[in-house]
Amino acid sequence: MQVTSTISVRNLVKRIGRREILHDISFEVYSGEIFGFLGPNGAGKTTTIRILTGLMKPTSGSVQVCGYDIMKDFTLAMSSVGAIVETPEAFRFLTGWQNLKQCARVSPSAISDDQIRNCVDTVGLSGRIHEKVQGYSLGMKQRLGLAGAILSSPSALILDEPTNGMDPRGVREIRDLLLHLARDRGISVFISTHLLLEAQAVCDRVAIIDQGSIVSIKSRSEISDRVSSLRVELTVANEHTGSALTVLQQIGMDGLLDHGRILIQIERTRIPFMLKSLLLADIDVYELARQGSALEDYFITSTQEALT
Amino acid sequence: MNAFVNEVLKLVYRRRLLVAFLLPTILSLGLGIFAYSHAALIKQSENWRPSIQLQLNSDEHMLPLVPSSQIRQAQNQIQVLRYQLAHNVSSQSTGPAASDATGISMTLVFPLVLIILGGDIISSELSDGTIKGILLRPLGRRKIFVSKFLAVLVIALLIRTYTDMLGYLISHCLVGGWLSFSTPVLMGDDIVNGMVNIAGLHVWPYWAFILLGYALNAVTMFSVSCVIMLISTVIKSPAMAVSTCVITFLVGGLLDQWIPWDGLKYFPMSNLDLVAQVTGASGAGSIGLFASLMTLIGFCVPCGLLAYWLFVRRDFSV
Repeated sequence: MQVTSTISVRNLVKRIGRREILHDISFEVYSGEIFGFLGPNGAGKTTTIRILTGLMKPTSGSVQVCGYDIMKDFTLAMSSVGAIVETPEAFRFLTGWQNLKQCARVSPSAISDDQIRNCVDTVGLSGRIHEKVQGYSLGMKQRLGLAGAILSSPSALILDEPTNGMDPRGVREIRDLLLHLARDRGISVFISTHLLLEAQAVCDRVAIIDQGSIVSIKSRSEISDRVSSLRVELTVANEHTGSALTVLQQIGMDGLLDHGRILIQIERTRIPFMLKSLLLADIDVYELARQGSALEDYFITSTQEALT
Repeated sequence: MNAFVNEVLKLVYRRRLLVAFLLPTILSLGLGIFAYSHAALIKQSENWRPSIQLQLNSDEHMLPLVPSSQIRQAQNQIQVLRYQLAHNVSSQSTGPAASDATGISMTLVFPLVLIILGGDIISSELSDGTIKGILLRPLGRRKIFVSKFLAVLVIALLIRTYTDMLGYLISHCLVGGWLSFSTPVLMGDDIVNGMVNIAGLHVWPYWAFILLGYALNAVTMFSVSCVIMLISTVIKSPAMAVSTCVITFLVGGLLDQWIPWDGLKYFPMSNLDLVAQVTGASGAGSIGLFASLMTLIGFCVPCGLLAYWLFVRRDFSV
């Protein structure tokens, strides 16, 4: 299959005054993939997104969306982009519906009321779409912003913290929606977030940016492979806790008791052996859970490396 | 076009349109009542000639007592009255476009209307971040800026039309028959050394005067809009932007009434009432229609262009 890139960023440099905020950022987002953009606060995530969406001009470098240069052919490039930058602000004195109508009026192609209704249904805002935005919660504004972003059936979505302020159910709904858009409609999704679990759950590839430079771009499987030692949490029957610790000591693993659970730092490849040993000793294992995520471990190590 | 519709709708939903219409309505009603009482006074004497003669006599007697700063204005007034008697022109009060002899409409009310409409048209969206919503659409900044500018200007022109019609209607209803479209209007735009040149006085039919007045007012409103757009682009806080607009136009425009400095007449804000330049109503402070136009346009259009340039080029970190 021919892989085409929807968003292509080359050698982006942004200098404000004397300070260089972005140093030589390059990456590609392919069609149908969800591309995570992670970084600690102040790393340059939002600046990059502002440049991607034409809100700011780069000092040098180029951004192409669907083959159009964002600076030279802004209108053509943005015709195929839906975007949310930071919190999506809607006009407070208009209703959600009127806000979407405003978006529809300036879209490149005509958008019918039915299409708007569809988008509203998709983001789960149908119940309160005719209320003034003044009374919306942050999560509802996010949903409204997302509805506006997918209104003109874009081929690329650029989302900055799209689940910020949403309740757990909303987060899951948005996650499912993004997966559906990418898998079924072939839309490229560029998503910046600091929520590692969110990134882990949906992203095909992840770029980590720190202090204005891209530290690494890795696919999800590459990240899982790279992280060999993990922290796991073992829950066994209460009366077996003591003997479980003894078994672990015998096979050369250090268990740490914490609120009735046993915490273990272990090589990934040794987990089956540990479980077999516990079962042979007649210990009832109720739960074996991973602490943190592969991405989290990876994120911490990559950004620390950059700092040193 | 659709972007323009969006901007107009926003003004409607923010109730700016309502307030902008109310302001000149109140003014027109006030002026209408004033005109009515004035006309009733003239009617008592049946004939306008004796009252003009009376005024002329009293003005001529008062001339030696007039302070030197107002002497030119008084002399102009006398010249105009003499001309009226000589050429049989009944009145210089001329209905909607110039019914406000004080020039309050173009120096105060319409700058205010424009500020209500446009003072924060960009700054409000900059401060609450809603400008992003439009910038992220495939419009381009040129269209966004132009649609905002046009929304302000077109609505203001509509309000001007409405005000003129309302003014005419009120005068017509209250005063009756006093104004007809062929009523001659005294025009005195020929100012020599700050004096009305009697040879330059001439009479226009009322309808032509209305058209000319409307065109000149449109130029003023275009110019004021340019400056307002600049202020709204540069100042991010809506409250500061609106206050700056008020200071620029209202205080700037009233300066010449407070400070007796001759150079003030070359300030753009002293030249908002272009119609006064034509009728000679601005008297000693007048620099003539052409110079007045040039002062206004020469200052305001570069402001508008600067606003556009800044808006198109800037980085938005909203």
